Amino acid sequence: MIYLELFLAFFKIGLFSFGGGYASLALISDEIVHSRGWLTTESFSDLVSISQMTPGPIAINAATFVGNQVAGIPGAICTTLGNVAPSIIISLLLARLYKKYNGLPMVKSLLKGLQPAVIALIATAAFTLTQEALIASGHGFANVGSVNLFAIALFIFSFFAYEKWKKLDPVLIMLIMGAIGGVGYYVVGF
Amino acid sequence: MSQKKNLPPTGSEPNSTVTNKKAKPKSLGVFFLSCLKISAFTIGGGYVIVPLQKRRFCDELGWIEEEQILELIAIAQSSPGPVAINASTLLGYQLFGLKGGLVAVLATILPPLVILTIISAFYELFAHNEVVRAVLRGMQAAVAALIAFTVWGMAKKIIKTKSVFLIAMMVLCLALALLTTLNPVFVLLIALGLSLVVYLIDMMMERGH
Repeated sequence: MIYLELFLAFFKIGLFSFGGGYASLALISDEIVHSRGWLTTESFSDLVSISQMTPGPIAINAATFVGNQVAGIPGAICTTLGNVAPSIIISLLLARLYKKYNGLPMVKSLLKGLQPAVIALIATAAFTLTQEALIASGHGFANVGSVNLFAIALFIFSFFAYEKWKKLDPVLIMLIMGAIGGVGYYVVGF
Repeated sequence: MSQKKNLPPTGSEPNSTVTNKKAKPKSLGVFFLSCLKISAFTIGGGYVIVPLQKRRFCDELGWIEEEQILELIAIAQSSPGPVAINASTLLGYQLFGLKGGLVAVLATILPPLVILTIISAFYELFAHNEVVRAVLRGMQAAVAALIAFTVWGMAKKIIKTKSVFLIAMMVLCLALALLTTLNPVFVLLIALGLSLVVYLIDMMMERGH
């Protein structure tokens, strides 16, 4: 039954995706493009680009998209549930352990040592995302070498906005920069 | 400190670190809507959920401390699957128990499910639309800046503690993550191992007196 197959395929992907979105890309590609041919390589590339730009993790987006293509909305639900099932089960188990034991002095000390590690990992992600946001693409005239000056301006201005207007919802700044980007890149041609 | 599991959550638990801000009362409904909104704007990678969660549940609502969010993110990264799903599940469980975890999952899955279903229908329109692409590029810069800004604030706090251990840990993990292709889960395991070693040494030194 196709629904079961969809569920299981994405369950497997969900179970083995450790360490972030890019790690799961290879897995998704293997299962969906190469093993089962549910997506072509081109569609998969498109999906990856779309995923960068839509809310939601790449795995969920891939699941929804493939599920939809193969078996409509019920298919999308099967794939998405299959994908998140291992995450939910293991996360809930770990959450329970955390809640129960995080008061213990030894656990507290160990977790405290993890905080700077997490900060370092987020910083790495920030670094990668910033690079991606600032590279030159297309034929805008703000492209100088391998960076786009308009993108740099937007980045700096956003950073300044978060610093200066801490009370302001960052989502608002994201939307404003989106609008400015729309005008700048499309209308003006940066 | 013991966790008072049997009392209904009031949002101002005595075992949280004392802060001056007034904690708003916890509500599952508010939590659901908050997660929904956060998920709708978790664009460009799962990590942007950190500043968004911190801002909403720590700064605005006062339901959780920043240090706890970092700990939960550490666990979220170590669990399989997308960081965003794990992070909200963990947070939901921490705040409201099992029902919180499940509500969090639902709220986190819905926006991408709905949005992507719509987009699949208009695939051609979205895939190569220059205006859409331009707007998204603008947002991309803002998202990168948000994560950079947030992590800069967190790094500053670590530096302010003047703890050699914490600062060295941060620098080491940064080096490992940037300069090697090690999976983040391994970086966390190494950090955990080192923390354990330091803890044991501390214990031994105390016993020695």
